[in-house]
Amino acid sequence: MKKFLLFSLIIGLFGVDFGWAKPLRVTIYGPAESKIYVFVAEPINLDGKKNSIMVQEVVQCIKVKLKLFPFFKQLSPKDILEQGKINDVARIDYKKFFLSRADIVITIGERYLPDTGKTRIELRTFDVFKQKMILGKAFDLTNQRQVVLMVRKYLGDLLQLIMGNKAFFVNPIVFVHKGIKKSSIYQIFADGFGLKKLADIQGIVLSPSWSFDGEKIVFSVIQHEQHKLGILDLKTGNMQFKKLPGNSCISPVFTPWGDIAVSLDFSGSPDIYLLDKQLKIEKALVKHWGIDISPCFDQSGSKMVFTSSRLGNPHIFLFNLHNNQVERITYEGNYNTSAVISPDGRLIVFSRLTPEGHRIFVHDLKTGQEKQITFGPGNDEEPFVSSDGYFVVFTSNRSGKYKLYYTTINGDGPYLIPTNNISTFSPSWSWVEEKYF
Amino acid sequence: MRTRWIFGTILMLTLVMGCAKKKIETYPAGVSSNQQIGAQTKPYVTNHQEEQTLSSVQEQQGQTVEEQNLQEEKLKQAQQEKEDIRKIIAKRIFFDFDSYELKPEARKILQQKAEILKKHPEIKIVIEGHCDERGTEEYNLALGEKRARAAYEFLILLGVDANRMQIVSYGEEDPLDPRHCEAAWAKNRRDEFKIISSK
Amino acid sequence: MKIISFLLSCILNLIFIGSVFLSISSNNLRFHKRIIYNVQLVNLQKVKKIVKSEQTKKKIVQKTYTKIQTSPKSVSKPEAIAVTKKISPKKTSKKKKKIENTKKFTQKDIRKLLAQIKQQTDSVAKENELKEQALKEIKAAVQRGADKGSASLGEVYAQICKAKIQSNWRFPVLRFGEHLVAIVKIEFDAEGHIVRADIEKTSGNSLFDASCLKAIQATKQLPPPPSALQERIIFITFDSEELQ
Repeated sequence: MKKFLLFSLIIGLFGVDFGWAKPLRVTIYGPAESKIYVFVAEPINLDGKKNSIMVQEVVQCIKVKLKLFPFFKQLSPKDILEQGKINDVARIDYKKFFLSRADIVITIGERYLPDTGKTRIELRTFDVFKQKMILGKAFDLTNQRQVVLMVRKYLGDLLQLIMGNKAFFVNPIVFVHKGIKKSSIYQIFADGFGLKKLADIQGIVLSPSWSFDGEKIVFSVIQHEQHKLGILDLKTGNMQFKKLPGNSCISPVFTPWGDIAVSLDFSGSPDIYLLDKQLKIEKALVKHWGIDISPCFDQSGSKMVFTSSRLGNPHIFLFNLHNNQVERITYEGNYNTSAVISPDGRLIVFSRLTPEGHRIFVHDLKTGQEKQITFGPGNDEEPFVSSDGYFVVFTSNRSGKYKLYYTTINGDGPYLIPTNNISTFSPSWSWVEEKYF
Repeated sequence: MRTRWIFGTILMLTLVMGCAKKKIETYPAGVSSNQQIGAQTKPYVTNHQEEQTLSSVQEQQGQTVEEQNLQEEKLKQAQQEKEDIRKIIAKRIFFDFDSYELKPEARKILQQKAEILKKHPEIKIVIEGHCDERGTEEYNLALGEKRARAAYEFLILLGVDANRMQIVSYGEEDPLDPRHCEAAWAKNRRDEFKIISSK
Repeated sequence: MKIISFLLSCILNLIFIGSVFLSISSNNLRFHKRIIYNVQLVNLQKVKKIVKSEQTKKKIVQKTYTKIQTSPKSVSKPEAIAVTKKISPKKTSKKKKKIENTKKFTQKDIRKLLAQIKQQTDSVAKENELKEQALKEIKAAVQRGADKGSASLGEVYAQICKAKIQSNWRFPVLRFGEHLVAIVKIEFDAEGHIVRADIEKTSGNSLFDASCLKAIQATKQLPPPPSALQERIIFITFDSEELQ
């Protein structure tokens, strides 16, 4: 009897075992942290002297700018073995950094150039895992004001290396500041650098938008009880105004091929028309008895996203320029407006009115997924996506006054873009580098 | 009114008879400050009239006063009417959130406007569409246009010539009440009507 | 007589097997799979419910499940750890507040849940004590007999390795919805030292591949594998997307 029992047990046990002779396999879903650990090492004076004030400023500037990216986490010397001291960039003890979990290390070298009286700053970035330098540059500086220029240039190149794009530092954002009876168009970079006024314009300016080559800005303006189309040519500095047919001229944008698309109401309700180079109406792109406004084209010019009230409330729609088909994008909420499309035509970023106010959402055309990326308080409005499709600039009155902020497409922000306390409306992010200084 | 100008005539008579020079200084004050009268009386002032002409002057003067007062009356009436027209034309109409539908009160107001406009074909107006701050700029600009157009089309329906009306949308750019509350928003969702020419 | 004794043996046999199976349900790594369902289905469903309502990931369930498997005598504790630990490092992309809510909610519910589980495990534990001896024998038998490597034992081991490596994995997803998958082959010795790691299938993104290898190198040491494990190789798939 006992034998029988044992036998039946053993059969039971090994009957299953025989089927499991494969090697082990397991899947890890998602990293524990979506960060790159950066360590900015103490500067090295290559002349063997004490570090100058200028080089201290370089360190400070790098640290401040690195904080503008949600995917960088800065390690402090106490996080690193031996305080992360580096004496010779040619012989870095990578192991020390690896054990301290640093992914990249940035070193700063300083050398005085007696011939020119300039200071040479050598910036290097090392990949700890690959144990090699990934970006090394030297800059000869004459004064302290050049520090920020150098750091922006260098970190731009570093971004290019890490995320394949440096739009953050080189593509300007325009926005409107509204004064009394006049408006101003300003330009700024996402890190708050380079705030400058491009033009003062009589009346109320709305919806400035870049041309795809970064040479012109088109906008609408309410002047002398009329809507007009305005074009600012940055190359020549000329400004042109044009009264178009109808009463309204809303949300003009450039097409990738250099024409202008704008919402006009001469046939009874705002519809989206294409203008030719002489600003004559070429054809209607989207026509409906409801409101059709806010066109935005992807880089290839095959898709145009827009806002329409054809279903009663404003919703986001997509117009396919190849087959003239209109597809509804938003189904949630009953006030979805201000949509822009990412340059690659995959993502649509828009503002939705929630019970708490306007919030920015991202809609993925590939998966149909929708995600909220800003959370107020107040209103988060008028999003515009950067050329890399990663950053989103928007205006928000969370502080009481409308100011510029940026976040990422994953909602890792927001970060304030300091604008000297002037009010900011209608931000638009150029998809190319700044051309005319 | 009547007593006033009887008194005026008596005063005039005594003045004219008694002292021609004095008359000029007191005359405008006693009757009216209307400049036209002052201007018309001027020749008499400078001429230092003789006895003979006095009666005719007196007659003329009386006539003039009478005429002037009538004109004044008319003018006042006209001004009053103009004011009434302006008031009716300027009466704002209000909308619901994210709507450009004319509410019954709005229709009533527009009917009053239409009557006035038909009576006074010389008046041209601009209709401004406005929105509250809750929407987004571009959409509000379109919504404001729709609001202005709703009034515009209703007025056409009531027989007002389309060429006499202009539309402009200000979106959320020109609020009536800058506060951030429902009461303010309700005031800001409106059409404004402005007379741009009455000739 | 013979027939009677045979029948008796059959009945006894059945009863014994049945009781052994029951006891295994809480302790044995291989057999409980089917039986634990009967015992814990309610709990698991509850966990799932919370997960669903709070939009956290399925992973929690998976992990909870495996944790229960690994330390049967204190089911309650690892579960709590598993769930709360899983939630706290959730992506920052979610609203902070929401995460906090989630935390509170699940923790509160988990406390309730734990009480239930404890009740059940207590009763199971009593049974366990009674059958501990028998179980030990069976376990030994499994170890001895599993010359081809025990499947579920290996699975559990793989899950432990996975948790260890994942905690060292850092990679910033810089594109919305970018889905990267790489497979890494890891070889380790009898002590669990990783002796070799190679990209078996690239994600097409060198930075991503590097991040996987980096995670493995940072892990360096895996727990000693069960002696039954003959092939000391593990294939780890690194998937950039968290489970929805």
